[in-house]
Amino acid sequence: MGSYIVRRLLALVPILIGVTMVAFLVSRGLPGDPARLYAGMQASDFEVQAIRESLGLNKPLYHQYWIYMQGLIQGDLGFSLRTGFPVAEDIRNRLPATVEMVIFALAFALAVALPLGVWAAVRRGKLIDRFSRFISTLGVAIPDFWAALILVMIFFVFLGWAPPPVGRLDLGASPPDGTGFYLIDSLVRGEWGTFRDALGHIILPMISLGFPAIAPITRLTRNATLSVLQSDYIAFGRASGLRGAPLYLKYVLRNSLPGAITMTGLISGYMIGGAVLIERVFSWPGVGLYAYNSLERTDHAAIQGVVLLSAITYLLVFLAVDLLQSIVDPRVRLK
Amino acid sequence: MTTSATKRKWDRRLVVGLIMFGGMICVAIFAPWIARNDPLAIDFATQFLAPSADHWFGTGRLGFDIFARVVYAARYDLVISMSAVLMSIVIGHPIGLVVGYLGGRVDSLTMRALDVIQSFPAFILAVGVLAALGEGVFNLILVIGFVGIPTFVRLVRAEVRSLREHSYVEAGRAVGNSRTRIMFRYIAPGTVGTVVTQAAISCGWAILLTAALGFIGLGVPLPDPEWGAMIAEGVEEMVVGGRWWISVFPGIAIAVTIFSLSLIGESIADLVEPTRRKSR
Repeated sequence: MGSYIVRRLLALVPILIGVTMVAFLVSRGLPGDPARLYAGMQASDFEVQAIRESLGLNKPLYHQYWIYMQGLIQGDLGFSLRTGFPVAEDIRNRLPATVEMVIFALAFALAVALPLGVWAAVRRGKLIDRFSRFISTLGVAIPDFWAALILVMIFFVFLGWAPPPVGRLDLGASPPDGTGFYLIDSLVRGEWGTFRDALGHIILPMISLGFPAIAPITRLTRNATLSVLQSDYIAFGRASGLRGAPLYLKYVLRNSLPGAITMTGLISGYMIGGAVLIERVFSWPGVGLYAYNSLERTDHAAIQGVVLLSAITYLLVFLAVDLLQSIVDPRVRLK
Repeated sequence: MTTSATKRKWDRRLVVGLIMFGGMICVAIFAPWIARNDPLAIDFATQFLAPSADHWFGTGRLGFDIFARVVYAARYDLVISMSAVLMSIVIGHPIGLVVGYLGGRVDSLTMRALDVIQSFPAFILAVGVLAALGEGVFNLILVIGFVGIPTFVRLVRAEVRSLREHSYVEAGRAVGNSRTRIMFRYIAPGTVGTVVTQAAISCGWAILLTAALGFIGLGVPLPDPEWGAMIAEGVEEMVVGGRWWISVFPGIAIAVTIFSLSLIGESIADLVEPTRRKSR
């Protein structure tokens, strides 16, 4: 296991270098004057020239990349013109909000999709199978940000059951101290009012971000389960008198799991992107809303910081997925 | 399940999908005949009207007729997504063909490069590049097309690697055909089925991406209509004023289009790869 982890980490190094190169080229190499963009449209030529020199933009490209990498290793992503803070700090402050939402959305998607997939496979061709396929097709066709709006329309505007889409808590409510994960913080401190408030606000974002993920996970689980059901050891299990929940949970689900885990990794990358859209609908003060506000004000350092960190996060999630995979299915390590 | 029953099933999906998608293309082409109102006419006298006989889908903040805009937006969304997918295929297909056939160092280098591009969540990469390039229809096509290239390279490469082992290819080599001729005459035709399937799926995905980018203000600039940007216009109106129609109709247009494309994609996939049908 140890050598497998080391091997996977080493394989990550060239990709990480490639990723930083792409991020660098996107922020510097494309047409347009980064110094002008950085300075803003009202800046004088003199100011632009000063910024060009301070950013090292008058040096050759490879030299600029070297400076960029030196900063990156120290966690320097530049300054946000909009907030006036270092981009790395801005992102760090907003990360818990996004992570909390993504984790809830993933949990929601898995909680719906895994049982639905297994059930659809067991009752293949029956009503539940058709229903799951219908949900799958719908999940692919409906844009998640639109679904979010429809949920707000139904549950806030018309029914009044959901709280207004104004972020993680009601307007004016003070967040609990601690890690920035409001649900955990309020739970640990026993602030029940805040906990209920935060829980109420996370439900619609969770459903909207998780909904598109249900389709692929259900489909994959269903197909994996179908092939497991036809295997000899399930026939043997049945012949030995196993039936019902023990058979499906212990033998069938476990063996359909590896595909679902990989799919979850892929989906989390999708969710990092989807968060930008969902956070805009719910004014959720996370990294996605930060990216959106930075886009509105063409705050380049902030946008490219988010782009780079999303890629790195995605890679780390994939590493975690591979490691998890090797625990569920030890044969993976030998490949 | 008998063969004829299975056959009828994909037939129906394909027919429904083609009718729906064809209808959407007709809407785009015949937009001026379908929408009586001018999609770009700003008229504050008709601001925020609920759907009625005069304005089927209501009007927005600037008095835009939403029905006319949903109809005209089909032009933008379909042209952008279809051109982008075409670009992904035109660039991705030959690359996949060549690296899949040659293998070796070219192949592994290309694959590492794709790994790097695909390390970025597609939407985020599109946002980053588009933020640097600037908005506009042409840049949108360029970026969405670029982000879609790896899918086609991988798909074609995988297909080519299995096709090149076939005996008819070996026969072609034995009688002295050139490498290029083998690739383009013997192998390329075998990849058409999977590429067409993927094209339908990718097209739906490209529409979703176009709309998502439009939703965060990186799409087709106003006043030109685009479904995603139109949804964005209605967010505050719905939450504060309860004016649901501004965002609802463009979203339905997106859902209908993508739904039809996924019907087409799935039925062609079953047609091209009959073994897939067994798992249904």
